[in-house]
This record gives sequence, C-alpha cells and structure tokens, in this order.
Amino acid sequence: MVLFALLLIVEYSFRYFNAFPQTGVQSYSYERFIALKEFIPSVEVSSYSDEFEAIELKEIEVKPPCLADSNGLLSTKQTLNQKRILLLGDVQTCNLDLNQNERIHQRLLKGLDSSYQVLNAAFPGSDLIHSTNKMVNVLLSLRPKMVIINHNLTDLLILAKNGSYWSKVIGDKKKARVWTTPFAPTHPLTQVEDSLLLKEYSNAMRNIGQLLSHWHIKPIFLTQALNHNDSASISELLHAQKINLTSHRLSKLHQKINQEIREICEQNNWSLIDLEKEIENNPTYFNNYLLFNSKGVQIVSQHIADSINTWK
Amino acid sequence: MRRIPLIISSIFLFFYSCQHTNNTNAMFQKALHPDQRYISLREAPPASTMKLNYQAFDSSTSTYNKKIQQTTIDSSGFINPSLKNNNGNYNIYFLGGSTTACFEVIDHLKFVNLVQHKLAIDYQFQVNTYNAGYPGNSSLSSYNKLLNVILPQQPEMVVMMHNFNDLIIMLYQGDYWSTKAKQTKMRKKVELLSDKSLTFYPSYLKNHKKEPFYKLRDGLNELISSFKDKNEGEWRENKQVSSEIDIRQLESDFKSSLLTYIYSCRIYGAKPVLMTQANFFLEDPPLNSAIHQFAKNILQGTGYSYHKIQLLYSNFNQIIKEVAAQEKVTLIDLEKSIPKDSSYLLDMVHLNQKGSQLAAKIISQELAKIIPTTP
Repeated sequence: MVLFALLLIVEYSFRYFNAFPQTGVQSYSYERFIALKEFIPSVEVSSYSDEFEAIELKEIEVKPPCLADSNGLLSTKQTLNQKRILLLGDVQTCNLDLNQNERIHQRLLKGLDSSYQVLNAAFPGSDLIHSTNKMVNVLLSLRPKMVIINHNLTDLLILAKNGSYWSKVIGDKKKARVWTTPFAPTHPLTQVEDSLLLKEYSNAMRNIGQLLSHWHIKPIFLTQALNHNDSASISELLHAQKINLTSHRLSKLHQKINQEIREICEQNNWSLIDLEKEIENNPTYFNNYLLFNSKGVQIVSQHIADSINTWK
Repeated sequence: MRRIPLIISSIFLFFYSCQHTNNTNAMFQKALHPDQRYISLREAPPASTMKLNYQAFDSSTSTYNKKIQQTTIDSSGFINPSLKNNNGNYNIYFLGGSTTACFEVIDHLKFVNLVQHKLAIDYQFQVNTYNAGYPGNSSLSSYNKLLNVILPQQPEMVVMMHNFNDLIIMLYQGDYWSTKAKQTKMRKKVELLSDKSLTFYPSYLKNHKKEPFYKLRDGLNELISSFKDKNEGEWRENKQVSSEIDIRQLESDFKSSLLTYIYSCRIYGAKPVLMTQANFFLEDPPLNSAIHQFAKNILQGTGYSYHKIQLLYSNFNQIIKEVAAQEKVTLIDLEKSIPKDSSYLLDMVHLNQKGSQLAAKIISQELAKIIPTTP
C-alpha cells in the first residue's frame, strides 16, 4: 500500500508539473470513428456473419468459402494492369448465400475480357452513405475505372425508420462512435413523408455520383430488382425491424426510388442499367424478396456485362 | 517478509490499473470484431481538453521557444468557443488543419471565433461559427468530418482551407491513402493519413484515454524510447522515394478533393467557400532568417528541398484559386492578404495572435458580402 501510495504521488506530480511533457497534442476523451461496412480482411465471412447488422434481411446464411482480400473486398483474380470495376450495394449484391463461383463478381467477369478485375465492395446493411465513406477512405485508392451502384431497399428502410442517414445522437460522450446508419432513433417515427425520404436518397445518390465523376471514375447506377410477390416476408421484415410501413407502401416507395434513379441519371448523364425493367419482378430469379438465386445472378451479370461491352 | 505480500499486491494493482484501459478498449472493439477496421474520424475528441506543446518563433530574439497552449473541445468535437450566439440563425463551419484549429492562439483570438464576433459587431449578422480544424488533417480527412458530422447539422456555409498538409502527406506517402506503403501488419484503423504525418512544426497527435498512472507510464516510455531509434518501422516503410512520386497525380487528386467538397456542400444546401493559406514561403528567403532556416531543416526530412516544396505549395494555392473561379465559389485569398512577416506568422504557415486577428478581419469582410441579409 505504501508503494501504491508512492506511485499515486509520483503520478499526480507528473500531471501537475507536466513532467515528461510530450511533444504534440494531448487529449483526454474518447476517439470517434466512422463505421466501415466491410468484410474483415482474410477472415472467413461465415464465422462472423451472425454479427451483421443488416436492416434489409433478418438473417443471412453464408455459403463458405467466402474470404475477403486485404481491402475487405470479394474480388476476382488480379493480374497486372487490369481495369478495375467496383460493385457497391447491400446484401443483394454480396450473394453470400450462393457458391463462390456463382457470386456476381465472378459471373460478371465471365462476360468481360481479361483486361478487367471485378471487386465486390457490397456489404449487408450498407447504404449510400456507407458506400460513400468506403469510397473516400479505401476504394478511391484502387483507382477503379468504373463503379456500379445498387442501392435502394436498405436506404429505403433506414430512411423510413430513422428519417435520416445520420445518427441524431452526436456528441454524447458515452457514444464513442459516429455511426452513419443504422442507429436506434431517439423517439420512434410514426411516419416519414415520401418526399423527405426521396429527397434524402436523391441527395445521397447525387453526392456519390459527383464524387466518382470528380475522381475520374465512371458511375453506373442500377435500378434495383425486388421480388414484390413475397409480401409476407417483406411484412415480417418490417415488423421485425419496427418500421412503420406496410409491404404495399414499401413496394411503392421502392419503385419511386428506382424512378428517382432513372431521372437523376438522365439529368447528370450518368450510365444506367435498368434491372427493375429487365428482371420484371420475376420470382424465378429470387430466393426471397431480395436475394437473387443463381439464375438471377446469371441474368443480372449478363445484363451488366453486355452494357459495359456496349459502352467500350 | 510480512511486507512482501503488500508490495506484490501494490505492484499488481499498479499494473492492473495500467491495463484497465487496454481491457476497456478490447471490450469496446470486441463489439465489432478483434480485427475489424474502422475509419478514424480525425477530430478534436469531443468534450476534452487539449494541450499543445509547440515551437513558436520569438521575433524579438529571433529564436524558437517552446510554448504550451490549452484548448477545450465541445461535446460535438468543435473547438471552443462554439455555439455562443443563441440568436444565430446562420451557421458557418470552418474546416482545415492546424492552421484553422489555431491551437497556438488563445481561445478568444482564434480567427474562427473572431469572425463570429466581427460579423455581429461590424456587420450586424447573427451567426454561429464552428471550428472543425484539426492538426494533420488533409482535405479528405475534412471531407469525412463534413459528410458524417457537419452536413447532417444542415450548415448554411462551410469554409475550407487546406494546402500544406495535403501536399506534405502526399509527398511523404505517395498519395492520400499510403497505398504504396508496405503493410507488414494489418492495421485496425483505416486512416487516410498517418497521425505522424509531417506537419510543419515537429509535433504529432496522440489521443490518450484517461487512465490511472498514464503520465507515469508515458513518462517511462519516453525515457525508454529515448535510448531507442525513434523511427517506427511501419512509418519508415511508408516514406516514398521522391523520384517515384507523380506530382501531376498529386495535383489532380488535390483538385478532385476540392471539387468533391464543393459539390457535396451544394447538394446538401451549404454554401462552400475556399481559402488559400497564409504563409511565409519566399522564393529567395534571407540567409539570416531563422524561420526559413528552421523550415529548411524540417523539410530536409521529406526528401524535398525548400525550394521544391515552396513551388509545389504555391501550385496548390493556385489550384485552389482556379477551382474557385471555375466553380464560381467565393475565394478568400489569405495568402495574398496576410503579409509574409513574422509579426503575423509563428512559422511557415501558422498564424500568431496578430495574424489570427487580421485573418478574422479579412474573412468577415468577405463573408459579409455573401451572407444573405434576409433569412
């Protein structure tokens, strides 16, 4: 105890007299950070998939092997001097429940020549702001040639639940993380106006589009295909996530967002692949309301490859 | 013999308390995954007090002296004083590195704070100004703060001043992301920049979580490290060979970063403003200039000569001006308006109190022209 007391005296002496002052800045609080929605590099995804916070899906069954590279991406084989194509999106783009060679990045590569590498940067629960943060902090460094963006349902659910992409609780000392989404709202929302929801989505979409353009990357937007026939599962999801929407209203909003995507692409002269029109709500391409089956991925990747080959 | 258990338990308590914060950290990270990465939000830690030790040029003696300045941070991570004007209906946020944070200047003379005061007194604008500067930040670090903290607060205006950090970081690492670095171990933080990036004065950032005996432990670490090579292996590997760096790519990236900031502000309804950085860079500095000699000594460590840095720095300020003209963004040219004089500048880029006051006068003059008179 004497030694302990001595140590305390020494400690507080150093603090008071600023002994051993360190060069630079000293601070005494919590560090805040931004969620980086990515797979853990070099760790089997199925080993931690139960920790995913994905608002768009109740549970995810990952089919191993599913390993991300050092950038947290599911990627195709890399050789020298390849042009990189990045995929951004939520769990629909990850294809975690499919075999490794059935996933979209592998399928897409089959429709393109060997001068490309396809990197899948999608992640369960990702919205446009997550993707933007990932672009700025990780993916811009890869200097991709083009980025294909498939965001709709997750953004819709987050905005319907929270009214915004961002946490309203900023600055709470106990909260050491600045989460973009998802977060628990400070009070439950009874209703979010369609116009507010569409405006938030529109801003986020324009933001990522302009970011890519200014970094000399071609943005390619997809309208999202959804299996609207599976309304029972959609209702179950909405109930589980405590989102005040009916499945019918969700379907309508989903279609409105797709229409917003078309209009914004036209206004900005950005490339569009209209998957909603191509897939036409065909349930034979889906495992559930959102996830494509193997046939669905094949069709989708063929459409994307054909478009890219046309634009060359 | 009877005292041995007491001594052992004391030592145990000491090391336990030192480890306490490490365990807390581990528990916190366990909520994600032990190897999960996250983006460091490079900001002044919310609700904290920051103490800066720095070298300040004393023009009366023409020497550098060590100084200490303390600053407080509000609960949202903005440098105090903040949110002073309850009647304010126009919110202006300032982004930048240490030249915006102005840790070396006492709180009420920091130019961000003075701008609010001057706009109220001289121009009758009720505004609130927020200081989101942070030492070592580049324009992309500031973008993280913009997108994730500032834009959600629906600002009316955002003012950005970046140059030196972007330049030095990219020259040191090769780009904003140190992709050319050999990463021998996986890092848990995805940092845009190294915390130990070469800012002008020899200081770097550490965040210490409050813990028992941290001072004693850190002091002992300092003593031990003074006997070792201080260059950490990881960051020594990040140092790129100057001949391998594409200067045109760096300039292009800086321009892209500025454009991204401008368009993001506009999309979210905020008026973007750009500022060039006041500086003491001279093409032919006097031989007996202590400030320039100090600068040359520091910059030698980058692998680039003073004159090369001066030229590149000037190019970056020129890029700011060109982008502002091209995108019709208000430009506040502090480089032109603040004399290159030690009576305004502590070193090559940092304002002293007099410089901060002059900057506030210039900035408020320019902002008064563009703040709407009707709500």
